[in-house]
Amino acid sequence: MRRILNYFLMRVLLTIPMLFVLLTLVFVVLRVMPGDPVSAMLGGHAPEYVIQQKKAELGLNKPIFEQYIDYLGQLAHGDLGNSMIFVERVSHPIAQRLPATIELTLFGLIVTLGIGIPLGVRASRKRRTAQDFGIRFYANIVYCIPVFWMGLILQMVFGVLLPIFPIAGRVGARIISSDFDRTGFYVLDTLMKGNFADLGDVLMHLVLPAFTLGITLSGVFVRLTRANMLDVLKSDYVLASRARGVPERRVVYKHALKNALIPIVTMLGLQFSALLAGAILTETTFSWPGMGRLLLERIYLRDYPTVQGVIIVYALFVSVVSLIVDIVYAIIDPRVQL
Amino acid sequence: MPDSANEPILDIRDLSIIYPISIGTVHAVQDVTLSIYKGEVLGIVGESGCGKSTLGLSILKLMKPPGRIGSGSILYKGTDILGMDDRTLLDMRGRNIAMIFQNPLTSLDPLMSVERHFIEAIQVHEPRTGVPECIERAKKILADLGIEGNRLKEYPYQLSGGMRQRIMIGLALILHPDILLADEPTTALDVIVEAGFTELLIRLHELYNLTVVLISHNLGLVAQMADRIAVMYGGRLVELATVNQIFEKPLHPYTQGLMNCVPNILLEQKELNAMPGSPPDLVGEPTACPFAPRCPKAMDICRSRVPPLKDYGGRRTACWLYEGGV
Repeated sequence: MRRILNYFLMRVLLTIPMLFVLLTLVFVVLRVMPGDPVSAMLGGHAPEYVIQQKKAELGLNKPIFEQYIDYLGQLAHGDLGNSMIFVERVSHPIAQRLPATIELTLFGLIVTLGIGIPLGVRASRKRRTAQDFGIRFYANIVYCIPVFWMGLILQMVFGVLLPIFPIAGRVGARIISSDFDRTGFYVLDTLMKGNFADLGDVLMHLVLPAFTLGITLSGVFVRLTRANMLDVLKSDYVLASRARGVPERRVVYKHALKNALIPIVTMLGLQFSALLAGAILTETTFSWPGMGRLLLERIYLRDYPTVQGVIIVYALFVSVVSLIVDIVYAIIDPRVQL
Repeated sequence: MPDSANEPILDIRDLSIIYPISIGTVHAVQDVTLSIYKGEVLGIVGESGCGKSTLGLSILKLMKPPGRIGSGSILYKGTDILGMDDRTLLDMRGRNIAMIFQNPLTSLDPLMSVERHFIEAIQVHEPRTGVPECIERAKKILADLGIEGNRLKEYPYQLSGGMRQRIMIGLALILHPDILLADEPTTALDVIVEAGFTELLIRLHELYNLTVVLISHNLGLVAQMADRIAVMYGGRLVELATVNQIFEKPLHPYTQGLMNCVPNILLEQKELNAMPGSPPDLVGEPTACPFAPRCPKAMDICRSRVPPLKDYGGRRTACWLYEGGV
């Protein structure tokens, strides 16, 4: 128990330098980029003195190094600061949007693995047959398709030609958004209220974005699962368990798949950032009110503190997931000690 | 030689195993006929690629894909294993005929504790046996193998190679099978561990009243354990005789060559003999004795016709040299 606690502490401490480097980069890049919040707000034709006055108000007239120190001081107090464009704290829109992104990526992940692993297992068992060929073809195709284009196609087919699923937003217009103020995770909120009609509506809205994200990333997992399963199915312990009369299903799912999962879990950790990047595009395609869209909007407005805040939250999100991946590792593989 | 009144427990008849591959058909095992009697230890020897492992796996109908049965049958107590449906086959594997493999280091699932291996081995055949009873039985068999019961909780990576091989044996014997197929069981072990393991196998053979099929290229091991030896070459059975007959007077030139290759420390042999040439290509239907190209005594007929396996007073060999008798 003590060891696990130490491990957690270590991991948390290790994220601090990572965040620091990332933050410095973002801080500098934002200020080096052409444009600034003041011209974004006032347009190109404001008189010089107004611009200077506004800059002083936002602290942008100070040397960049001083701004940086000020910002770090703020962060050290756990304060992400105020938006430079709107009258709000940076944490406010993030708190509002983060659940939407988590919900989307979580369901996207479920779809990715739900398609990737079973198809990969199937392809490995039917090696060199038409099925195997078909599955590999699918994997290659979806791997090549850009996520936003996949989104547009799905919208057109399942939203317009066959109007089954809604193509934008998290909920239908008839639902009052104050129903969702408990956690911000709409699936959870509706479940907690026992409101199954709304739950259905929320899930229907989730289908297309989650599948867009999930299908696009499933290609990698199909190929990875297939390759690892082929490897493991050739191993001695698989042969040995067959020789003991263990039924094929159990051999494949209990022995082979469990062993093949180890590299898949590794890949999952590595692909998670790709998933988040894909989520930004998916959110844009589906008008999904998540962090990705927030980030894009605020980059256009050069809202420095909000962009910095969003990046920090993304980085923390990835760190948490990689921590979870390590824990899953230790659960699956007895050789891994935390 | 087992007495003739004894019914064979395993009867392999005209067995051929083929692998269809892109450049033709590989005849991994060809026309093998072999009876194995209850209680005996039969050694199957031959060099790499001679078909001995394929033969061993085919007894459990576990040929590696794309291998399949070309012809023949394998009768276990009168029932053809190759004709069994999946259920009967699964039931037979491990319960009636068990097998251990060459590489003990990789033959246990790395993600499962030793205990789970035993529980699985028992419960797939006896689903109603509870976990505590499984553990009890596992402990008992581990005691026979000289392993402490507290090792059950450990994972394969925590055990040494010799220990893992003994656990493989334990898993094979937990359901008291009649036949143990051992495919190169000591190849991956060092000499000291091998010696201990051989002793253990001999002891278990008596203790569990086993019939053992010992597949090996290690003539020393086979000489120590086996009652009879089957020599395979190029997928065919070329000689079958008792251990004494094989070591005193090998008939087939291939067997003679094999005996020459055994280093002998007592005779202060100056040089280690090696057989020239390499094993035959098994693609396509053979039209000559597969050993003819390497055989020092090859005659014209050897290059044009395949010699049949013939009986010479209780021992058998497939060689044109003995057309007129031994």
